[in-house]
Amino acid sequence: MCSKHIHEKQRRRAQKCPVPKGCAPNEAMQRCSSFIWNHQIFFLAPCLASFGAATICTKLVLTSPNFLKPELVCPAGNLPALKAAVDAGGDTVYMGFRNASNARNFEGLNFDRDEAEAGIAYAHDRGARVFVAVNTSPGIYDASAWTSSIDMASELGADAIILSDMALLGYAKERHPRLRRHLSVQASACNYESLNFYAREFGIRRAVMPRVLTLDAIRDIGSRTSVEIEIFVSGGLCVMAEGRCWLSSYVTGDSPNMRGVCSPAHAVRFEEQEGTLEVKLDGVLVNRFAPDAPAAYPTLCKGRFEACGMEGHVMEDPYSLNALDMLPQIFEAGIAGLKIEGRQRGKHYVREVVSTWRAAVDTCAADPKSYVASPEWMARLAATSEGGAHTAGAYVDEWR
Amino acid sequence: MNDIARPLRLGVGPLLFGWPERDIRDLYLELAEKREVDILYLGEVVCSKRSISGVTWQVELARELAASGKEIVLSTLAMPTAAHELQAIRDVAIAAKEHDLLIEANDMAAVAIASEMGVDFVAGPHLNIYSRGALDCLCRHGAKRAVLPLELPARDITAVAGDAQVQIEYFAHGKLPLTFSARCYTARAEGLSKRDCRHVCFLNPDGVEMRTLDGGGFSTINGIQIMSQMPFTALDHIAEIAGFGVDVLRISPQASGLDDVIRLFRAAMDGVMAASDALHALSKGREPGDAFCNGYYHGRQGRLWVGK
Repeated sequence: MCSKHIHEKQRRRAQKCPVPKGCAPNEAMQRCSSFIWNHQIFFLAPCLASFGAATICTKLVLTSPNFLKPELVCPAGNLPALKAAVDAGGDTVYMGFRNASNARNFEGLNFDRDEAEAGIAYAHDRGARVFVAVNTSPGIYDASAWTSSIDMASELGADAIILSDMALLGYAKERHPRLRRHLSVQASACNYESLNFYAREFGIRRAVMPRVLTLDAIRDIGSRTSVEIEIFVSGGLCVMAEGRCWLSSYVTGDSPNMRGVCSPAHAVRFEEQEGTLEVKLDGVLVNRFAPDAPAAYPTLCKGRFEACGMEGHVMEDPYSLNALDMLPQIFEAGIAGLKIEGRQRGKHYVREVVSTWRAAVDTCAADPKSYVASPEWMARLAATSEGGAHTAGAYVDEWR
Repeated sequence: MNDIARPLRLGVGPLLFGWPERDIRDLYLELAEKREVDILYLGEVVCSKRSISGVTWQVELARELAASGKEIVLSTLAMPTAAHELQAIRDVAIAAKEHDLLIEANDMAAVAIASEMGVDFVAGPHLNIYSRGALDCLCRHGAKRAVLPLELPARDITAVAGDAQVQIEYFAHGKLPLTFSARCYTARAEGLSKRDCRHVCFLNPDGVEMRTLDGGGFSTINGIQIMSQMPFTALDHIAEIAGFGVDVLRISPQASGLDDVIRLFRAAMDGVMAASDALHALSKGREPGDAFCNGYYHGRQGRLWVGK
């Protein structure tokens, strides 16, 4: 069912029997869960239970490390990147439409209707899922761009929609009750009370955790909610609680919540000053580089400033997130989705990062106890990361 | 917002900086004596490590302050992640129910707990209320007053809040709490970690200044929070804010200059002093743009000052 370039007819036939002959137990369980997901046949749970298969219908077991490996959720900023992610082994791609409705509203990125339709077909034909992010807030503006994005995601057959604004969550629940709702990281839900609230109120099925939690805390949250947990594992590291950061609008006037952008390109200026390259964001000096040094993109929280008489990266070094080392613990924590950041990156980046993570996840799934992140994988990720250096961020307590 | 126009009330928001409890108590006992202030918010919002004596201390002080006749609101943590932090919110809600107080919810966990326990709450500025739908949802769960996100232009208050049956509170003065992180930046700036922070924020009652490499002002470090460099003020826009249907003006306290801020806000609210004169007095001879920011009020960059 998951083989590449399968015909639609064959795919439909295959879906009738999600578990092929000779399938290993782990794989069989994963295929069952995919089948249930794709067909939303949760009502079958009691029947399955009667056949002694109730376990596959509970989140506990579906995400149990002994049975399932987490899903690799990969960035698709445009159609070539989507194809690269699927071809490289991504279980799922996430994308947004070309308007202010998603938190990566960058110039030249995202999908119009035709591209989205083609992308979803490409992914579905190859057994991959597609999530659509509509994760900014319409605020006071005409909400039609946001609601029509939700409508379009539903019409085009997206597998889930990623939302943060309570008004939009309510809209999606009412208008498209069968479309899976995921809580965006932009909602900044960082505890089980919040997740359970969103589940009761809006029927969310999964939540993406802000990058402020240790892995232990995430495991604890997962044990106290039926909401599936998705975490970022790779790519740009947001060091603030997503959805609760106004640094960008403080400096540039545009923020993730209101405009879907952080430290936007239109505000960036590079200026030569007496042999050094100054990088400014809307006139505010964010970093300085020697002429021959590579100049990083001036994301505000990765800039260099002065505090307590010391100059440096006061908030965060220009590191990227890399949790490859922690995969066995991530499996053990019962996390459903591993999210790779990078919708603003091109297809080559996506292919490289997704294929690396595919190899790592498969290796870990085969034998978590002897899993070691290979130096080759680490080197491949380091070569593609913006800062060239990695951190596990808030997942380890020492980072704080 | 209510149909019947009521006079603006003045609230002092929760102290966002890390102070020793003795100093917090002194501040609030002093505030309780001020007739200019109608509402007091009390409770740690930023970092649970600052709460040495926990909820009991907070509630006892709140009860003591309630004798002043002011409305007392028990503020809660903005980013609770640990079990003991969630339990503290639950304990605050229990106390609020017992003593008939409001709580300030700064995380959806507090909304969930308040809703479950039937405790009325103020939806604080750290809940993302960018749309009428979000506001309506919170109202269904017991929000009696709401502080909209600080980056929202003041002119948009009416559009978001409209005729909602909830009071609106406007963050009218103080350093803007811009963001939260898992990392303690005060500890990092002092070469410490969050785990072993040694309560270094207690040494910096108005936070730690963060400057750009060319010496320009940038922001203020306050533990896991980054704030604006200069205080935001809407002192010269009070009449306009009242026209937007706002019920309460919030002053966010800090160590320096709080008495003057309260006195001048009250004077301008009561019409005893022209708002422009009050701003002039508060600026103490400086250009307002050298002392304050107000960009968010006008839908601009938050760090800027936009003159009339």
